Amino acid sequence: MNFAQKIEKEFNLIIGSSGDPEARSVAMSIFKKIGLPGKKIEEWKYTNINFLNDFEFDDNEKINKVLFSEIEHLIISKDFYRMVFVNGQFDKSLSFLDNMDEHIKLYQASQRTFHNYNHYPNGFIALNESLFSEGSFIDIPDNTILDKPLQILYIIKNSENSVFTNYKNQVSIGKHSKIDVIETVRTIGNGSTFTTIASNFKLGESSTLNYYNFQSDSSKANYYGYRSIDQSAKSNFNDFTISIASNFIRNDVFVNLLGEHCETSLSGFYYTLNDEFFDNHSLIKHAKPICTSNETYHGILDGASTAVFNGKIIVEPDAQKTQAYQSNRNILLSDTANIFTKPQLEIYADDVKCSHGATMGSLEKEHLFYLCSRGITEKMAKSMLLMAFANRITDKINIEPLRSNIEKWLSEKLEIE
Amino acid sequence: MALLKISNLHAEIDGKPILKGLDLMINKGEVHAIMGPNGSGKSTLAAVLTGREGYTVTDGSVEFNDSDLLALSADERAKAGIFLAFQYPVEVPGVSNANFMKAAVNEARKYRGQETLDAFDFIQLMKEKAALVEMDSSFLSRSVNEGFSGGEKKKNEIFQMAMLEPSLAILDETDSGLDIDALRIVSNGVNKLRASDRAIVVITHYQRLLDYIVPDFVHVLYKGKIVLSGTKELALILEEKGYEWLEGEQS
Repeated sequence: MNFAQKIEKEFNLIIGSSGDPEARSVAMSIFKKIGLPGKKIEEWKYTNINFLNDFEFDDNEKINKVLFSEIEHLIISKDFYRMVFVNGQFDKSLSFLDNMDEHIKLYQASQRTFHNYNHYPNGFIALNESLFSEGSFIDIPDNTILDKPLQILYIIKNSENSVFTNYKNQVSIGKHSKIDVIETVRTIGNGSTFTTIASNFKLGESSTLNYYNFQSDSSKANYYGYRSIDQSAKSNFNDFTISIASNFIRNDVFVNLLGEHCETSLSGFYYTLNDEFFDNHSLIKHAKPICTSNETYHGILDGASTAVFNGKIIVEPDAQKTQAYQSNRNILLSDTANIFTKPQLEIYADDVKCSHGATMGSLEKEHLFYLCSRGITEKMAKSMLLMAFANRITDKINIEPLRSNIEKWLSEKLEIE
Repeated sequence: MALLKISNLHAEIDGKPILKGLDLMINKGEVHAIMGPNGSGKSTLAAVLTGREGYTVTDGSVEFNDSDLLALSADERAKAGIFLAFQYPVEVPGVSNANFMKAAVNEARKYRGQETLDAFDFIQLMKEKAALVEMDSSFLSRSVNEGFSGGEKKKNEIFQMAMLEPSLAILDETDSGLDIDALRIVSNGVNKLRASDRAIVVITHYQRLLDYIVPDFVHVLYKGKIVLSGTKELALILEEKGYEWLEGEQS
């Protein structure tokens, strides 16, 4: 069964069995109209989704239950709240919700009808809306500080066959409330996977969302992630996207600053190897005055890999006193690696402070020589400098066990002795 | 046995000859000053001795402890005991001074077959050596040279020298960019590191530094060769007569 046949089959199975059939049907008809995103669309010019052509599904494949021991190493801290999804379904026995329901209301997404899109930015989101099997609906009341981070683990277990799963999340955060969310997607098995996760966040006044997306999956894993964030006045959104392994990653982050005095920070680090393809797209829309956004992405590219950075900031006419800063820096370690970077500013207000910039190059020879002149081997000097470059981003991660976990992964990848 | 023996050294950069038959012999315990006008080859000599990329040795030899120095890579030369205090130390964002020195010291110890230092001993050692150049130990957690003043950068070079305990230290224009207080601190640090098993080569334009770090020998590098060698009084003559005087001496 190929990808198109799989879509047809999944849709027939899910329609009427879970969620809102009408919303699913509308989304499917839109998907059929707009199709998969392709090179003709500016935002997808460099994004090759041909991996989908090689997908081979076998519905007779029986997946054994995932054991705790198989996911234990993925758990950042056993103390943290944890929601675990396996192959499209919520797994309560692997999850750890403790007393979380004292703080928040949690529903399974498949049992709720919520948030229909006004428009679909691309075909993957329409597909996600029509096929999502599960996800979480989190409602945090006013004045609630979640005492521990919530880690959401999406586990895909397969043998040799392909797996396609879709999740949809909605999180609304009340006034003066705060939550930290860690997203982890991981494949256990040898087959190709494609996972789409569409999450919509509504941040109430003076609320805070810290979102950590740690992407380190198998060499046959493919991921599409969509995050839409609506920020009310004085709210704070900090996003971390750390991508260090997978076949294909596309992150779309859309931020709407809908109240005054909002702060937004998007931080990313990517390290691409072999034929990997990682793509970070973001759009920050400053609709109201006196908001600040800060976007910093660092990338290291090796092998014949490709990375794309596209950051767009729109400052609307009303959004006076906006401060918007954006930077994308890249180190290329091989002649066959490609980076496509495009920082974009569209400013329609006159009293603003904005800057953007992109760099690409190799490691600085002067830095290398300085380290080597002190007796450090060239190999070690390189990994020290690359690690330093990555740490500029990871240093800002406030959850200590997460930061050390990521830094451990990185130092293994960057071969620091 | 000479610590360093340079014979008939010819070196070029981008096909342009800079060193044209340089001879120099240095023994343990000695302090040598190399003076000369701009473009005479002083910094090229430092670069060639430390293995910087882009310089090609076309003739001659350099023996360090009786073995061929030029066959070693930059890091091997450092581990063998050569240290360069840079004229323009680079800023290395994101690498802390402590991690940098820990990697360097432990690499050198491994090379010599010694055990690596544990965290406690290492911090003690760093604090002790930082005091030598009157540096506050808070700088250890800062990135290497990042945001350092000119004086702090040069002090950091001498701190690193103290940490690595080289048998041959080359100080390339260590006085440049220093105010009088920093010059005194840096020179004091260097003087405390003078030892019977260590040689120091001071490369400088000006006699001023040699009032603080008093050399045993002074050499004049001119147009790629050592044209004149003497004791510290030679520096005073140069200061008085200028390098143009050499044109006359040469002919």
